[in-house]
Amino acid sequence: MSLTKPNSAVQSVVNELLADLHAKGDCEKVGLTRESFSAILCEVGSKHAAATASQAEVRTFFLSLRVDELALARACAAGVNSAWEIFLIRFREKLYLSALRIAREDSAARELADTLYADLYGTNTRAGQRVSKLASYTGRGSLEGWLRTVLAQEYVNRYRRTKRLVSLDEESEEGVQFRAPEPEPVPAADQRLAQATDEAIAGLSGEDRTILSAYYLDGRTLAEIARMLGVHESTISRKLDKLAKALRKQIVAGLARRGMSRRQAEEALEVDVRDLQVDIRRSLTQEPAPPAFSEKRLEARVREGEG
Amino acid sequence: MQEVPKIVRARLKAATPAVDRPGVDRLGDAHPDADLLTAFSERSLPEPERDLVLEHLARCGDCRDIVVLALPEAVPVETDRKAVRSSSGGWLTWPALRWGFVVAGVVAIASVGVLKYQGRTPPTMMAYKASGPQAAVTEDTKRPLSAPVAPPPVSPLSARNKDEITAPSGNAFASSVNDANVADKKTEDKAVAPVAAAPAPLAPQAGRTFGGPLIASGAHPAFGNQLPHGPRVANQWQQQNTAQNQASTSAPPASFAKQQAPSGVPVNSQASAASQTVEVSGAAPVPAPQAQTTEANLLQYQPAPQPSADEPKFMRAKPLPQPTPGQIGGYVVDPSGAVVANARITITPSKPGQTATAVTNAQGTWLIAGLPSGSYKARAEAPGFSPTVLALNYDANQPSTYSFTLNVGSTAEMVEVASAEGQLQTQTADATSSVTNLNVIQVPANGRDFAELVKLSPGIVTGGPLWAIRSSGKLQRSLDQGKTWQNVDVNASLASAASETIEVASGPSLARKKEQAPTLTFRTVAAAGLEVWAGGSGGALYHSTDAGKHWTRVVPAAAGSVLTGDIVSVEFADPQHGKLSTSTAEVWATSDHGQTWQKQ
Repeated sequence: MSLTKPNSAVQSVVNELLADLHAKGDCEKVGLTRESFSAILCEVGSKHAAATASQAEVRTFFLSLRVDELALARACAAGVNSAWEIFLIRFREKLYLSALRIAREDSAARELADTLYADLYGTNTRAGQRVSKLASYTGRGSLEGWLRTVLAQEYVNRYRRTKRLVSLDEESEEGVQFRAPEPEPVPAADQRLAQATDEAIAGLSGEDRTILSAYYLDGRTLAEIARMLGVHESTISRKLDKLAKALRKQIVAGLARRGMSRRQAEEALEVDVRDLQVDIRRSLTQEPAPPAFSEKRLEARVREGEG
Repeated sequence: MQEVPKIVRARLKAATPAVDRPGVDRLGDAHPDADLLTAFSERSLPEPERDLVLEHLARCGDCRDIVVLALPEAVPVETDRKAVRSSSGGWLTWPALRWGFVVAGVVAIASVGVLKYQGRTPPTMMAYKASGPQAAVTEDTKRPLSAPVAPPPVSPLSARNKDEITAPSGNAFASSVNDANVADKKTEDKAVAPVAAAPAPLAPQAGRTFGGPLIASGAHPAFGNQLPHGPRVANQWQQQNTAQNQASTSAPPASFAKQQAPSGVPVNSQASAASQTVEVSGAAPVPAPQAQTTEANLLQYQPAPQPSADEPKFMRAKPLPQPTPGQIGGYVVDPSGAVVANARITITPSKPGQTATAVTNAQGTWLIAGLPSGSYKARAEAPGFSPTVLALNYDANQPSTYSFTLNVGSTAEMVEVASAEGQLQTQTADATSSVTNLNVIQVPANGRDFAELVKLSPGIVTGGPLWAIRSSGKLQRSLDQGKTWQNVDVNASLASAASETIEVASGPSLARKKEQAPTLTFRTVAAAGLEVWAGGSGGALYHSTDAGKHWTRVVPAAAGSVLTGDIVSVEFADPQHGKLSTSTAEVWATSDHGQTWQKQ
């Protein structure tokens, strides 16, 4: 089972902790022998612990694992009937509810959940061996959370596959049939602005960029982002505010370094390429008859008449 | 909130790849696997790994979607300030903190003001009520003006009323009220002294307001003693006190003076100055009456459990209980944040004393009234959860909310097994499942009907074990849907049934069969549910009604002839009706579960 050779630290820690973990995971109940469980632990350990990890680190890693759920999942993957019974009792309903929450529609939810069941049961075979998706669970998060994540992955994958398919009927209804492909984004009016912005964004931490992307690109609500990162909503709100200010400041500073005056930099920030395009289009379609001109002419005529 | 410049959005978008390939993001990095994402959203990742995941999430919209979609049902988020680190230094957080303090201060002052405003209404009402009879009884206009100006703190006053009125009737308040009287004597003196020195112009005003338009002069400070309707006044006070249910129901004398302004009576500047003086001096007696009234509330709750029983009904409309002082309440949730109804809360004082119990309602909230201050142990238990014990220091003067999070107990799995049977729908054999196109393509069907794939769905029982005949003539059974096969020895369990068979069958043929038994060669097997029929060479026909645990040898015989040829096929349309054909082209049929046979 262990495809990679477990390093010595992992091996020794597994040997040391095996009895404890085996008992903690209720392995007997799901029919996992000590030997097979040891193999599983070695596999999980060598997959996640870096080769250089110290014994203490490996130890903490193993102690933080959810051994009971790991044992259950692996027993299910191995096709133990009693394990499947426990699994179904514990997760069947939850899985469907999660699917319903993700897909937001009953039949789609059922399909999603059932597909996952097929994967979990292992309808794919590799080299004559039934491959259950549960075999890839390593116990780092809760099994329930893992199931939800797998469901979400499946859903997103599916969505990604189908989102480019749009029905022609819909298109003609919307009046966008035979629409030209989206034009290539026009390069920013001033390369310096883009460079300064990239620089400022690159200076942020991964967390900050995640928050910015989730809020401005994905259109997530503050509450969703907060739950995603496990903090309070108001923290995200404050943080976004702060990020917006800091970014603006840094971009202006970056532009100044690239030889713009402060005023120019502020203006460059306010000008949006798309705004410019809209203005041009509007001015092109405008009626080319300035009323002031005709009025003047009228005035002139009246005056001529008088004169 | 300040918006980011539009260029930032454009650049963020540009940094997120638009081309997507499964399994890989635009920069060619692998997506973090489900394990990692789960651990990330459950915040069980060590810092370095968490940073790696965040780095990926910043780039990968798909993974952000996955994380958000996989979030559990809204759970009360426990704030983890450490999780979000300040990107621009710690000094930025300080102004926010300071403003927070300022806001908190303003709120505190405002709430004190509100409490005081509410607190002074009951005493004035009482004063109006009391002054009516007072005016009729005493025509005491020549009393020094300073006397009516100095209404003593109302709590001592009412306490004295209660003292006189309730003591004879044996009311439970008597003892506590006596204490209050003693305790308040001092505060009363303190309060009266500065007010008595108030300037004269204030006196008539205060007197008028206090005594109402009916009386020419003010009320006697000790009018309660002479009241004809004493008991009514005392009860009223008590009721209002209870209804208000606030720690600061005591009204400092200042409230009377203050009352003048809104009452519309012209007040000169001196008067308002005096009222300020009164307010300051009146602040001193507050603590003592406050403690007293609260205690009185509690005493009333204890002998009469009625109000406390009604209380939860009232609270039910609210999502969370808002216990008022003197009450203790909270809610009970399970690890997923769902409320737990019918959980039993037992509150035991650490010193020997009365225990109190409550049961959570459908909203998972509970409330107990009438507990004195002290330290307690609260134990919450619900079927299927392990009991949780909280040690709490309860202050009767403050609203106290305690919430329990019950963890699934060790016995919970057993309980779940029992309750989950409904979910599994064992009552009906119906189960619905979709076989997707993908499954049909990927499952090696080997030419079998793809509809068989439905049997792979969880919860579907496909008729027990699978049966097969090996080319060697061995009967085999699989209990795990064809993964492994075991030889089945029909003779092992035949022993007990053999005697019966012997009697049924005719002597010589059985003897032959018996010695043949070890080398049975099966040709065919038919199984439907638990019913199994296996036929083989030399007329060997075995029947099991329990999926192969026990076997019975059956010798079809009709009208004197016995089936002897090799059985090549067995068909059972249902447990009752079956047909078998032999190598000698005989066809035997039964319509009664194999009891009798007809040769056709």
